[in-house]
Parts: sequence; C-alpha cells; structure tokens
Amino acid sequence: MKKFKFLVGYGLKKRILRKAFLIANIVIGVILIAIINLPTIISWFSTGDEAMSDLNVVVYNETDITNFTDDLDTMLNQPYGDQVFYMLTEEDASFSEDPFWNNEDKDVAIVLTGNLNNPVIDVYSKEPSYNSQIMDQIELLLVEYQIDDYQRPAFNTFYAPDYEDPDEEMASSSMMNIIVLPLFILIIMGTQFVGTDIIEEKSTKAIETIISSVPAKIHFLSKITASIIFVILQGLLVLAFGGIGILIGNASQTPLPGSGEVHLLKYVAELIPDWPVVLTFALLFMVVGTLFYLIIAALFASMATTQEDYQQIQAPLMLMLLSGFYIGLFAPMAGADQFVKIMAFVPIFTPILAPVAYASGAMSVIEAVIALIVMIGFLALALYLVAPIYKVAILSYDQTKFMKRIKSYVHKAFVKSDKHTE
Amino acid sequence: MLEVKNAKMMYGDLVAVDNLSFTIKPGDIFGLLGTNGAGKTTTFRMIMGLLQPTEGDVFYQGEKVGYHHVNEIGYMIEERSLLTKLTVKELMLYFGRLKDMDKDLILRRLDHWLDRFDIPHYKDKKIKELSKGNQQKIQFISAIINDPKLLVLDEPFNGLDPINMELFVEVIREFQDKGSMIVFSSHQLDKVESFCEEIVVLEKGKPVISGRLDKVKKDFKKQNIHIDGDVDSEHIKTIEGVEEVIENNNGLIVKVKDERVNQRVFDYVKTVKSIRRYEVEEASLSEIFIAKVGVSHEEV
Repeated sequence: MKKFKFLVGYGLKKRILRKAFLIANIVIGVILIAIINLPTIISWFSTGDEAMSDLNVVVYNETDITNFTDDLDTMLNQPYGDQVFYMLTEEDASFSEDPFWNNEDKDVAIVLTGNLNNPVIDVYSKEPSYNSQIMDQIELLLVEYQIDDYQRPAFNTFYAPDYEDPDEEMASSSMMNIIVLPLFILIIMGTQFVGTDIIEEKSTKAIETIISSVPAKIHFLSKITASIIFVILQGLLVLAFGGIGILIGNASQTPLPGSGEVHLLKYVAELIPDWPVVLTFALLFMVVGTLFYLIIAALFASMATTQEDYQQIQAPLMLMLLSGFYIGLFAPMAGADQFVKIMAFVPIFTPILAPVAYASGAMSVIEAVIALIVMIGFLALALYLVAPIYKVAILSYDQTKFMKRIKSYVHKAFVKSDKHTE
Repeated sequence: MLEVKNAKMMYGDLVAVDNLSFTIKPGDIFGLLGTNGAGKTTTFRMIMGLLQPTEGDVFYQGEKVGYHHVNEIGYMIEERSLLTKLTVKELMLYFGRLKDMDKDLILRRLDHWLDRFDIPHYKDKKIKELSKGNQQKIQFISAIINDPKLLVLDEPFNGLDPINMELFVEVIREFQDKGSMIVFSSHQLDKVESFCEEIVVLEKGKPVISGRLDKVKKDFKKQNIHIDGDVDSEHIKTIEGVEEVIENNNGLIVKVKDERVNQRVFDYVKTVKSIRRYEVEEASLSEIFIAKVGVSHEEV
C-alpha cells in the first residue's frame, strides 16, 4: 500500500508539476472561455457597415390611442438604431392571423388592443430577432402616453408556424461542444498520459528495476489511479474555466432595455433545464469511461516495446475515441437521436455519447443509468482480463507481429496464470 | 541463504528453465552462465520472486521468495534500465522509495556511492547527459542503494574500462565480505572464473554444468600443458590422449584428454635437449563452456 501510494503521488507530481501542464491548461482555458463567449467575440469583429434592410411592420390599432403608428415609426427609426429600416403601415381592418403568415410582404404585425391604461400588445413576427427592439420602443412610447400613471403593457409574441430559432440551433450546437469537447479532451489526455508514462519506463528498460521492487499489478493500478485523479483534477479545472467564461461573459454584456442577456449558456440552460443531472451524468461517465480507456491504453503500452510501437498500437484506440467524438458532435445536430441513443449503449462510445443522448432528450434517466451500469460491468471485465495480461506483457520485449504478440500474452496470462506471483 | 530447488518455469508450452537446483550461502558469489535465451533472465526473475516456478521452489532465508523480500534484493539488469530524463538524484529517490527507503537515507547513501565512484558532481545531472560508463555506475548504485543482502548482477561490467571494472570488483567484494549473496552473470568468463566460487551453466533452460568451480574443472578432466622448448609438435600429436596441439609465440599448448596423459607427454619432454617451460593447468572455464554448450560464450 505504501508503494502504491508513493507511485500514485509520484505519477501525479510528474504530470502536474510540469510546464506542459501549465501551457496545456492556459490553452484549454482560453479556448473554453472563447467558445462560451463566441457571440460576444464575433460582435467585436462586426464592422457596423452592414447594408440597411427594410422590415415591413403593419400596425392594427384597435384602441383609442391616436398617432401610435407615427410615434412608433419615429421611435424605431432613430438615427442610432439597428441596421434596419422599419417601414410602418397601419391597417384599419381587423387582424387575421393566417393571411398575415401567408403574406410575404409583411414581416411583423403589431396588434394593439385594450385601452391606454390597460394596453395589450400582440406581436406576430416572422423575424423574432427584432421583437425585443420593437417591444422596447412600444414600452417607451407607452411610458410617454401614461406619464402620470404607468401601467406595464401586456406583450404576447407569436412566431410563424415554420419558424426555427437560429439561437436555439446555435445553443444546441454549443451544447454538444460543451459536453463532448471536454469529455473528449479529458479522455485523450488521460490515455496519452498513462500510455506514454508506461512506455517511457518500458522502452528505457527501467521497468525491469521497477517491477523488481513492486508487483506488476500494483504498478498497473497505480498508473491508472494517478491518471484518473489527474483527469478528475483536470475536469474540475475545465469546470472552473467554464465558470470564469460565464463570469467574463456576464461582465462583458451591455444588455439593451428589456432585451435580456445574449449568452450561449443561457440558451444551453434553457435547452437543458435539468443541467445539474446532466453534469452529474457527464462526470460519472467521464470517470468510468476514462478508466476504461486508461486500462486499454495501459494494456497497449505494456504490449509495446518502443514509443513508435506504442503510437502504432494505440491508433485504433484513438480512432474509436475520435468516432465517438464526431458522432457526439454531429449526430444530434443531424437529428439522429435514435442512432446516438443506440450507440450510447455500446461501451466504447458510452462515455462520450451517453451524456449527449441524455442531454438531448434521446435517453431517459433510467436508460442513462442502465448505460452506466453496462459501462461499469464492461470496466470490471476489462480490469479482470487486462491485469493478468499486463503482468505478463510488461516485462516482455516480444517484437513479433501485434496479433501474434497478443495471442502469446493471452496464452501466457491465462494458461497457468495462477503460477505468477501477485 | 538462497535455495533454488528443482525449479522449472514454463511459458505456455515453452520450457524456459528445467530442473534447476543450487544453493547460495551468505558471502558466496555465484555465477549463472548460458547463451542468450538459455534461461538466465527467467532464473533471475524467479530468484527475485517476480516469477513463481511452475514446479519446484525458490527459498530466501528459509521462506518462499516473494515480493515481501524485494527490499533486501538489489538487481542490475544487463541493459541500461534508467529513466534518462531524470537527474541522478531524482532517479535514486524514485528507485530508493520503491525499496521503502526514506529520502534522507537514500540521499546519504547516494552521496557516499557517488564519492566512491568519483562522480559526485553528476548528482543533479540528467542521466541522458552522462557517458555510457557513468550510466553503468549509476545503474550499479541503484542496485546497491538499499544495501542488499542478495545482489543480482546481470553483466555488471558492460561498457566499463579496466579501471572502473576493478572499482566494481572492489565494491562487489565488499558486499561479499559483509555477507551478501551475489548472483552474477557475465560474458567475460575470465571474470567469472576469478570471481565465482560456484557456477551453473544453462543451455536451453537445462543446467549442463553445476557446482563449485574447482570441482567443475576437476571433473572436466581435460588439462592444458604449456611447453616452451625444443620439442617436436608433430611427435606430441601422436601421443595417445593428446587431443590438440596449438603453436603460439610462447611455445605450445597441448590439450590432453585427462591427467593420465600428462605422464606420457612428460616422458617425451624429458628426452629433448632444452625445456624452458613446462606447466600443467586445468582447462579454462571458457573451454569447459565451449565443450558443454557447443559455442563460445563470447559468440552468443
């Protein structure tokens, strides 16, 4: 136990007290903060020279408020306004919804009912991105009309039946990035660390001296433990970077009156109302999934003899991870929820896809728990099979073809494996 | 005491070591010889408890050897086995801690051995910056840093110049004097001959020579006679029991089947006019090795 603790501590120190760790975290931090604040960053590069566009607004004033359309026209088309010209017209006829949606010449319909003291404003919009600006100006106008006794107006907004919110799409894409990217990065980091660590000791033959002092099983478990602790620490750092990103995002916002925040995380939070559960699942899958990949990486490293050999052997592992990453990134955006759900039950893809499937609603809590149990079972099986092979392979410098090598190690590990000392 | 009793090690169907037995007492230097793949490394691993024999047993201080003994064992492998990115100090701390030593003790002993090997200034140097010979010294220090009671040395003199080789010999002798058991393997059979009291020669996992070196030589029977004088080598070749006559700058080396042939050779030598040297010696370990294993140890 003493040697196990020492090896875990040594492995952790070796990873954390390095310039590479500092540099990697600066890069990860900057990228993560940038992703979270992408809209703000894009807006910094906006030149403001975009061409003016027209927005046809038709007003149905069914109240006794006079000059409303003219006054609103003045308010909306002030010189400092948006890159849009609001072309207001007033209709005397009653508003009818279907003809409006079918009328290609009209973009927004404002239906004003009630009276000055209790106004009700229905906004029918084919361009909802302008709604907040229009509603803000109506509110300001009513403030002027109700100077002595301001009554907050009731706003109702209606979207075209076929309308797809671009913010929602962006948030959906961001959600995949926010869940998949950190999981992918952390698993890659963990597997790389454990693999290179073992192969460094093996390729220099230092492993001979090490294994003459600690049992191979302790060596194997200490490498896995140090790496998983490292991944958890790194995961916490990623969360911290996320928090910093949110704080920076909030601090840099200068919202217009009544417009609310324009922040990706806000949309993500709206899309995933049970985000604490998603986060918990993501962390659980991260730990279990990373452990699985660490075990496989350790096995491959023990079977390799040189760094180059290891790079070749680990290629399939990286491809599996990459496949999971791309499925997690693009399949939900393509609407292939069922595909993601099915793949989330395949243990090699579970760590990345299960949190995505749950977050996108393709997978229920029970299904996510089942996927987790399957993954844990798979992990236990991997540990049971890999540990004896590792014990045989770590001191072997067999240079035969990889498949032949595996066959030989498996044979040695499980035929008379009970004869090896612990 | 270390006892290997009828040890057999199988990897699947492959017999790596078969029916190997020997005993090493405190203060003994034991030579384990064999061609590459003969089973030396497997034997070393069994001795250190890294592998448990498929049949037979290895006992250390009366109990089955296992990982609970590793802190008393020092091991130096044939090839470089150092983490080259670390400094000498970092490496010793790493290896020393794996032997359950505390930091202060490791550093104290490291300073002592670095001074002894005349490389105290390398303490904070990275291993990869050191020469081959100095790396070998560091590897040797890593094997003895825990003051082992059982020292396993696989080709300890590789890459050493004669001066440093003598330094290693001196230190190994000190461990012998302290009562450590030393298991030793080397391709330099003259070193083994001058060093070990007892040997085992393995061939394809089987011991082909085993026992005390003097007895091994005696049992081998063949002897060499060095003759420098006015002798007729062609005549000597006709003497019954003479196997080979080698001519060199110092005269002749006559290889004879056993000591009974000596008298016949001596009878002939007495008849010649001038003899400057007549010396009988037992066959060298190298000759015994070649005779038993079939190839020269240096060739493998």
